Amino acid sequence: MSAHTETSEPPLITGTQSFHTVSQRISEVTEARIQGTPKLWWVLMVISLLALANLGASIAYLFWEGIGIWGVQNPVGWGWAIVNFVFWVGIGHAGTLISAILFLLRQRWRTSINRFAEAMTIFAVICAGLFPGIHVGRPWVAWWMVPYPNQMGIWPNFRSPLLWDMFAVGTYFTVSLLFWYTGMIPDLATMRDRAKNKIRKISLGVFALGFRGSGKQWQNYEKTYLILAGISTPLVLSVHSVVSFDFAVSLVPGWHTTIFPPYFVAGAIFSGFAMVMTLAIVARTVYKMEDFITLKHLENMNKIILLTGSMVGYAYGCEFFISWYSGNDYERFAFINRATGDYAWAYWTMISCNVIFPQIFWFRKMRRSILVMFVISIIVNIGMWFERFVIIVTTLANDFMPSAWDYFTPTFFDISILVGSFGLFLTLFLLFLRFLPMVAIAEIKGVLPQADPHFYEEKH
Amino acid sequence: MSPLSPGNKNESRPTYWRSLDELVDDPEFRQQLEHEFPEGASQAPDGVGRRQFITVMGASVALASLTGCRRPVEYIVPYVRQPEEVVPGRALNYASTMPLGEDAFGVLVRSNEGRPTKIEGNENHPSTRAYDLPGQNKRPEPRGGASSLMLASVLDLYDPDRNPLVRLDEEDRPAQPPHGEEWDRLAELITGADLGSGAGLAVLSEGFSSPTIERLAKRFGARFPEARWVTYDAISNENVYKGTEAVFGRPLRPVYSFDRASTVLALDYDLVLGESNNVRHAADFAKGRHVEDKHEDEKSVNRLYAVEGMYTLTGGIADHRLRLRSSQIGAFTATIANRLGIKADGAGEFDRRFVDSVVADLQTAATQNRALVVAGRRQPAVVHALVTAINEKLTTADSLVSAPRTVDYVAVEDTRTSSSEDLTALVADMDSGDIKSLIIIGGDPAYNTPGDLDFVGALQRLPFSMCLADRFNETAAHVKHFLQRSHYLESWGDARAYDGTLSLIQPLIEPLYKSRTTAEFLNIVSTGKDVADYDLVRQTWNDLIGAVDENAWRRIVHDGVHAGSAYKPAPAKLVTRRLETFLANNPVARPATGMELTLTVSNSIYDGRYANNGWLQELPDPVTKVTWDNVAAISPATAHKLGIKRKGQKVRVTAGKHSIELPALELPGHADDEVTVALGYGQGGGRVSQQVGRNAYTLRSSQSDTVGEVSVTLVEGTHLLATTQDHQSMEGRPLLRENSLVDYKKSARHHELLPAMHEMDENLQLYGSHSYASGYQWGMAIDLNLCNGCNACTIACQSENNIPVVGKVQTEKGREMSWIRIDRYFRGDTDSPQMRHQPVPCQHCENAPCEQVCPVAATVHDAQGLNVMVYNRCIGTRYCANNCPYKVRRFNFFNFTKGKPEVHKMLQNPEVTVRSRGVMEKCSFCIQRINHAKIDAKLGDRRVRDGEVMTACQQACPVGAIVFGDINSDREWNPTDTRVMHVRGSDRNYKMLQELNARPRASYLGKISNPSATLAPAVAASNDQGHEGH
Repeated sequence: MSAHTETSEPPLITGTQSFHTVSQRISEVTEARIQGTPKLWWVLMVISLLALANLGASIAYLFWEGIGIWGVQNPVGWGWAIVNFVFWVGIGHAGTLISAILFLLRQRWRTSINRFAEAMTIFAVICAGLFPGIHVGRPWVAWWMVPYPNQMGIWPNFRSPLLWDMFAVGTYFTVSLLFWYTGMIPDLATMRDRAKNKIRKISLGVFALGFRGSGKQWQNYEKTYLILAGISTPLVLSVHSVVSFDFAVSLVPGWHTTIFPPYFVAGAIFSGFAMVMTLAIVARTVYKMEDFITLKHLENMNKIILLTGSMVGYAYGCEFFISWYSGNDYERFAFINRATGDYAWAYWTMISCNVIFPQIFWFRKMRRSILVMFVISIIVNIGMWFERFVIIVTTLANDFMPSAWDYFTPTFFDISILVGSFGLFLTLFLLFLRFLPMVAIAEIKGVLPQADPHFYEEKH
Repeated sequence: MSPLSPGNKNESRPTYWRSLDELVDDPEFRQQLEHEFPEGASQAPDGVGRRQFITVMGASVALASLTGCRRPVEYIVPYVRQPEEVVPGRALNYASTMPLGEDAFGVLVRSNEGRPTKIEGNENHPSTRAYDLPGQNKRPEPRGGASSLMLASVLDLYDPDRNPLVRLDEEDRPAQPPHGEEWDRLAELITGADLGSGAGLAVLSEGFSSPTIERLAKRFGARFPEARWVTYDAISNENVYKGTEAVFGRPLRPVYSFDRASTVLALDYDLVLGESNNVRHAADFAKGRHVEDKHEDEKSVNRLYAVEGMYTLTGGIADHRLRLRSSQIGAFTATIANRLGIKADGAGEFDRRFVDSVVADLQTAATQNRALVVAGRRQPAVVHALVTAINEKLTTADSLVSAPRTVDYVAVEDTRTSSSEDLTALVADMDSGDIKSLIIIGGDPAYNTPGDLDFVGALQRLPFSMCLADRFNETAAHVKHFLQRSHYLESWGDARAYDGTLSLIQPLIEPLYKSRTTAEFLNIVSTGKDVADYDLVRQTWNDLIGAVDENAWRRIVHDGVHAGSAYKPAPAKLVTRRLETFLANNPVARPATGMELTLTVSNSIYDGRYANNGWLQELPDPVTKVTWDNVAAISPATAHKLGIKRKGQKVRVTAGKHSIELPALELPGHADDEVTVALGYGQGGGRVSQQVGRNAYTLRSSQSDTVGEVSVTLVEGTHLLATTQDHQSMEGRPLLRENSLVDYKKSARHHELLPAMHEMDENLQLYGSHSYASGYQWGMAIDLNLCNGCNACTIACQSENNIPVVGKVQTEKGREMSWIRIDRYFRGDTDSPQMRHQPVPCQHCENAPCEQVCPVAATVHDAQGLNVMVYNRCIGTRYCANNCPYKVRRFNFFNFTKGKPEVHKMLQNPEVTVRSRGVMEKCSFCIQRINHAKIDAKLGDRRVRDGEVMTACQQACPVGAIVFGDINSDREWNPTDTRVMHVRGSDRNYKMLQELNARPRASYLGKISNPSATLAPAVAASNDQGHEGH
């Protein structure tokens, strides 16, 4: 009997795969000539580049005119820019979570999706990092937030959550990038070895850092990867906690709550998984990777979406309860206003997208339907964007002073920069799909039945 | 080609030349000019090779980038001969007078290096003497208060539309030579017009009150004996004079003493804005309203009853308000008159308890001569006649009561008052051809004459027409000759204050453009001689006060007033028979049936003469909070009837043949079936005034300000309304706390004014905090009991702190920049709610929420307890504004000073940084004034005296609601309480949102109202069942 039939677990990779076919299927995507690139990729790339160009033009105009081109005003000092920032940081959570935490928990099903989930993280954090830089009134001096020694002895204000934020996101980005890169080294080496052209060979060789696949190298690699996973794990929890401090540390009713860190982390994982889901389905379809990204992977992710969605729903309820229980009238008003005030439409969009729709995943059939999960993943992404909108805009619009209350209306440039950030994200992602191994070759091989030391014994 | 280049051969313009070559205008020079730069400087010589080209290009690029690294070199030119008294960096103040119709307000003008930059009230002037809360031991120094119009008038001086060479739309205007030309030919023009002895000539003048102008008007009359002199003002006291004439037999001006009145009944009368002498009236009223502490005698606090249609600020500070349509006021007055024993027909049925209470209180007050009834100037003469009779009735003739009267009647001198009959006759004669020549002095009759008179049509038919106007306004566009008048800050002149005090106008600056004063104009017209305004004024005053020595004259110039020159009360005796005859001929009009229209003076831009003033256009109306527009204000019930659902839905108001479309605004507390529209908007001719609002003068009739029987219909479309406050209710939050006098006296603790959410122990701190116990510690107290919401502080702050105007679109987006805003709340039901005002500057929290969140430490605390903003350090995250519970921080979303007219730069206060795009700003407690005082003190080796530093808002406030100073309670530092400490020691003192423990340095003194015991308690310390007016 073969080893894998003994276990109750179905195989993680389907189709008849050998080590060679794995290398072949994944590497050939990056090795293809222009004609070999799927048409759909080109279509998506053109759309993404248009959106990216739009981003560039919008930012240029923004820098020229000032942030008045957005809908931000008094009292809503933060608008879509910060909504987008929190949204993208949230998206950037799933990658490292899948890589680090699932790795430490020995969830081996993660191998098929971790690479592009990590890539997605990097790109999402790049998108996120864009916004704090451009949303300030004088972007040319945004670097003053950085503590650097200067002749005037001026330091940034270490009490400000924005400063913590900068460090948290910066650290997260650096570690995620290293983690992603480290994980890619054996695959880069594989691709280098397969390269037929000199330039490709040299450039891949540079990035593969001389990885030859020796036992010692593998040992070092595994250890590094483990250590990085260990470093990343707390970061997954810390980065969005710190982002939530931007709000929780302020005294604005609706922001000033201690539930924010866990609630933000749950929300981030929720949205991150939804985005991984969206991208996985696209990548799987474009590049016919159904054997590597199987329904089992998708189903597992749907379970996590169901879990985190319910956690987020619990947090929504909890917030409401606490605002009532606290006896603080400002707090109470802030939450009742969210659900019944001028922005009730946004609030109920959020609730239905994040809490109600994902409940469909209680049904196995739904969890395994590509169409359903694709739609739900998009809905969750919309819902999570609205969550940030609700938190930021509705809170600021109606705080302590009724005389200052106002209604926020986005402008063309708010929308165009959001669309543009998707352009940036997708452009980077499509480039990644095309030029880097989208699935971790080495790790996939590790979960093939053949990787079992006794595989061949059994067979013969 | 630029107008100055020699190619432009405009013969009518003076020729300026840059060099003799240009004057000679030889072709070589012209060629050289076209090249602009001498040969070789910018163009490579002919036949440049590739190599040479690259060399030159390379060098140019290098040089260009080098120059890019440097700023342009500017040379500072010191005073070669320093003007007397001018010390660079030190402002000087000069007293002057701002004439406004029959009124004259004393001003103190700050001059920075010869540029007038800021206006304050003159404490020596009776019309601008402010009230101040008494201190513990001593009375405060006298202080001048100001109105928003006075404060903003300095911006008019720098109005770029006054520049004869800069016209906004050349096509729309008839070909006019530059103003200066006309001035040079004025004598010629008058001679050329062949006016003879004045037959067929008329002067249409605005109302004035000035000895010099009156003297020259008389001289004009002597020169042109057959000429007619017509006076017209859109807003005037004409009806008041007619009323007193009916009672006393001659037109007399009532001069009110609100400080002496213990019961005031205001009939459609806004003592704060819109009526004559309003600054003084507000200050006097505040004096009678002041509550020192809860041991205050109830009788020492006055009581105000207001009867009006649209909410006014007077209605807001009233203890009881009855909403009646404007046309019902007559019937109400007759009712009160009947109850007081004056026979008048036309009385109506009104809220009996209200009437009883008014009558009882008036009668009680009358025993001590402390009752006062006032009626607004748009009310017809009969109302004023009745009010005069009532006041006479309420003045005890008993010689045992020697209390001074609350109203004195004076005979005015040197004054011409508007007459609508004269205007109607003039227009008729212009039509018929009896009048062929018209000289218009001031005003803007082409714009503001009533719609039923076709003044413009008549004007255009005249063979000779000339106008003297403050800027190129609508009248200027329709006359043959336009002459520009000097601004009062560029003029010598004089005026009589409302009480008759002789006041002097002295110039702060040479006329910016070629312009003359009214006196100079009249002098040229009547004598042909161009005499300087100073000489004309001196001449008048020699006759007026006798030949005084130079020192006495200088004293008058210094003070701005000739002390003791007020009118003496005229003997006035009520003749009942004459009144009865008058009432028989002029019965009290029956209230209009159906919808009626009331036209009011604008709370921001007066009658429209300030329509080109950006500060005032952007100043939120204190009642509606609308900027940059006039609206059709209606009650919620009427709005419902008309089917209005959204803010800004348009209605068409039709009166007779004329109709205008206006955005409707639902205003709580407005009388039903009445629509109120502010005048002064919809004016052409100015770059600011254009396309702001609609001209309601077209709806006006020459008979009355109240137009009955109008039709108001909902039309398609919505108008964008820029309001600065969209939410009207306080949502039950204890932001503005108040109590009635009776309950306040009973209360044990201050917060029973209105319950706070949670009283917070100020010592509760997670971390130790700075003690702020040494040196100056600045603090502010704002007495909500005195504040009436008049907006003067907002404009004073704008002027002092170089706050930009952002325009309607930005204001609508909520990006207005005011550092001190006035919150307006309604409480109670929507039909007859109460209106409250609360000024909110930066609270300068010791534990400031803004400071903790700024990532670059651009907003920090100084040792004096000020929350300071470091513009240079600000990167613009706006986190501070988000975290500010008081929402006082303002952000420069754009470069709001970009595109500012060049001439406005002269207006800027050199001591305050002009903020650039992308930085946050907010109230600084006028830190520049604090530092000035500290430098002075240091030079004098002394401490800053109490009261030496006044913030701009405090200095402007006519009622002394804002007190500022050192609050350091260390007895070694401040052996006795400063005024602000004394005020803050009141048990009415509270800190807004105190439960947040931000520890603001600004505190508020709760409002105390004094409702009548017989009427339902107007204010109870109960939660607010606010009106949701979103």
